[in-house]
Amino acid sequence: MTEKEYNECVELYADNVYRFILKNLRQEEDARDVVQSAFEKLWKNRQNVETEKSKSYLFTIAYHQMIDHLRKVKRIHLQEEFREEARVSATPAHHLKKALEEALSRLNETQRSLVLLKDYEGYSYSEIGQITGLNESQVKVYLHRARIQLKNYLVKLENLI
Amino acid sequence: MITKENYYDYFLLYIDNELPPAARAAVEKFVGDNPQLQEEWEALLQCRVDPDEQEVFHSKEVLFQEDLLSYVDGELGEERRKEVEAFVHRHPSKALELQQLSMTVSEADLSVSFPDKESLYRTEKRRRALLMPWMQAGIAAAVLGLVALLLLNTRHNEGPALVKAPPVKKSAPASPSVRTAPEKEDLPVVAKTTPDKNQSRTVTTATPASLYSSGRRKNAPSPAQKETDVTIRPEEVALATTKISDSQNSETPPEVTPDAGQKTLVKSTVVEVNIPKEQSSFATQALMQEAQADETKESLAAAPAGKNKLRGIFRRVSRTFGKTADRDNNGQKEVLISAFQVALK
Repeated sequence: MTEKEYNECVELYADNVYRFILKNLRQEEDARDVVQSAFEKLWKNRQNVETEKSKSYLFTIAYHQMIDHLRKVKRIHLQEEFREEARVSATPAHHLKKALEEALSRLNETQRSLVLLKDYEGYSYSEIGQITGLNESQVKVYLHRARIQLKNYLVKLENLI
Repeated sequence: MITKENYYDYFLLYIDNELPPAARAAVEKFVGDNPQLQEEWEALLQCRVDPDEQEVFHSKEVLFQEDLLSYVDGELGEERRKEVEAFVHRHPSKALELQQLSMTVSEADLSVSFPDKESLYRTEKRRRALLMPWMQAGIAAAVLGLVALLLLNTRHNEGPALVKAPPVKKSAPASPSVRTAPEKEDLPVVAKTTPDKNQSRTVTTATPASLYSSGRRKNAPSPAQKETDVTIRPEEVALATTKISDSQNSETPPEVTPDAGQKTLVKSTVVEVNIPKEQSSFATQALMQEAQADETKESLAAAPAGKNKLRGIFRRVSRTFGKTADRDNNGQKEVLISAFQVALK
């Protein structure tokens, strides 16, 4: 990958990676750090990365760094999630998009990442497997479970309304 | 043939559906003909397990939910997608489930973008010499200085005896130089293009008349050549002769030879002769070398010390060990080492 191709990757994929990470971390500063770190690694390894695979390379690096980051702040993250859950149950979401975001936040990191990689970027099961380090069958099972959980949450909210 | 001894085997084969149609009909006829076996026959029929349609239906439902999820994920092929859509169209409950699953698909918020994209752009570091203006000027001055030194050196190497006045001639007061001689002025190209050649052949030295008279010069130049090559300059001759005698007096004690008187006479008739190297004798060459050595000394004294010292050393070495004389000296080749002539075999 040349310098020009790298900068094209920045132009094309920086926002995508940032959205993906921000949706998972819900912290702008942390998401920015992860994205910058991912692009830094891409720059350092640009000689070994083919341009066609640069997007999945970026998502792979960003995903693993995000998991590492979540492991570091797991305790704080769980406390925040607990408060958020209480707030959601107290005030039902009226808007479907907000309800879906709330439902996404209730998924674990792996499930949420799978849903976002599928819905935001349209990756196939096998591509998601390459990014997350799972095999295709695992991706399929985890993703379907996540969908059913999301559906049950949304149906439950609708019933509450 | 079914008998009362083997009917039980036929009943089991019937239940396992292992009998051909004719044998199956024969078994059924045998049961009808023997009512006492009817109870046993029905008990065996109940042992057969029929497929559970409800169970099969449940499995299909589970499989279909997976198809719905794969449909939502866009992982189904075109044919399978059409089958799912057709099934959903026939079953409204499944259509609702598909709609609920479709609600779980997230859409990216395109308004969210990386806030500091400029920080991600990179440029490869190309090693460029960042020179300040004063550094550039310094380099230019150094280059100019080198060029000037080279030019000076080149001019210095060009025959100083002809192109420029040699140090010996400079010291000569108001002496007519070679450049003023009409014969030399007629040959400016020679003096400029091949200065070393002329320098090696145009020597101001004393000519021992005894050597000329001894008959050792076999290839004497023609009279016409002598007229063009020989230029007599009394002032220079006197000065050069004095130098030669001075150098001889300072380095070696004066020789007492039978030709002393004749040598004195020769000193007063010093000429500048253009003698071809192959036509000069070794003694003449020795004298010429001594004269050149003196010139070298003076030029070394005038030139920068560090540069000319090395050049002077080389010259001295090359002169001390003279080249093989090309002169036809009775068919023998000789090497001149200092003032000695060594014959080569």
